[in-house]
Amino acid sequence: MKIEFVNPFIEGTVSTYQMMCGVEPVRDGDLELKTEGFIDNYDLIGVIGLSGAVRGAVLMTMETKTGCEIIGAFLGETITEVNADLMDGFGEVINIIAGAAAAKLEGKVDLALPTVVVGKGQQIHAKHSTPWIIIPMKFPNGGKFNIEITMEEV
Amino acid sequence: MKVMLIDDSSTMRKIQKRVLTTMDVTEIVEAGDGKEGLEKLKEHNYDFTFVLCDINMPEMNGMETLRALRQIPEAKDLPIIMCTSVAEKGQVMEAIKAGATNYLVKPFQPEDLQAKIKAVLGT
Repeated sequence: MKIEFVNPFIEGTVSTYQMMCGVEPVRDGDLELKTEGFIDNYDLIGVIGLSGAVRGAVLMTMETKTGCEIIGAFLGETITEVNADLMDGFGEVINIIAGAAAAKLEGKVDLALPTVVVGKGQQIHAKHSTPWIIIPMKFPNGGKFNIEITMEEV
Repeated sequence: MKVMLIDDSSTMRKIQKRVLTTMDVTEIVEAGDGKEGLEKLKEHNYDFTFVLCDINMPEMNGMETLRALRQIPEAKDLPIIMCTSVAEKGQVMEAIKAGATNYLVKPFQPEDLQAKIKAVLGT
């Protein structure tokens, strides 16, 4: 996986949260490289598949509590527990981030429909051997999250 | 104004509705995908001021919905704003060629949506 793939996802993440939630997330430490089969740190996971000029997936992961706060800001309502708004909103945010990033990648990249999973200890795989790049980020209130990407050119 | 919202995200429709309520909108009809959107548009005899339509949706996506609508004589001139996370230039051009009246890329701020609506309505 090319490191050049990373910046569009960081830029897409920052612009999406700035415009839709009024907060500006920043990088929180170094990128990590993980091979498939790793156990994710967080319990709220949004995933969207990428196809076309690339093959891969992008994940956004965070603690459910952080997800409730940020999706509450997205929606302009208070979310206190896992519910339909949290799941739908989380999927929509990862969809917007992936769309913004895909527009900056070379070639036409198609987005699959997003899926959201809740639960600790999820093991992450992909149907190819490309490693995952983990981008740790945090919100101004300290809430942490990751953007996790696996991608290869077709 | 009577508006049709077609988007598979219920939270996005809530956000759009919040913006629309700041404008002169009297009725909002919602659909979760293109197929449901076409059905509801037909039920209402295509009598809408404009349509806001997502692209990346299950069942029937926004491009299929747009093309289907432009084949229907009563909907030929109905203003349709594509509101989508699909930001790639080729896709934007494809939508305009297929008959989209305007195109708004997510993420957006409320004033961006208001501006697109005003541009489409010429107000």
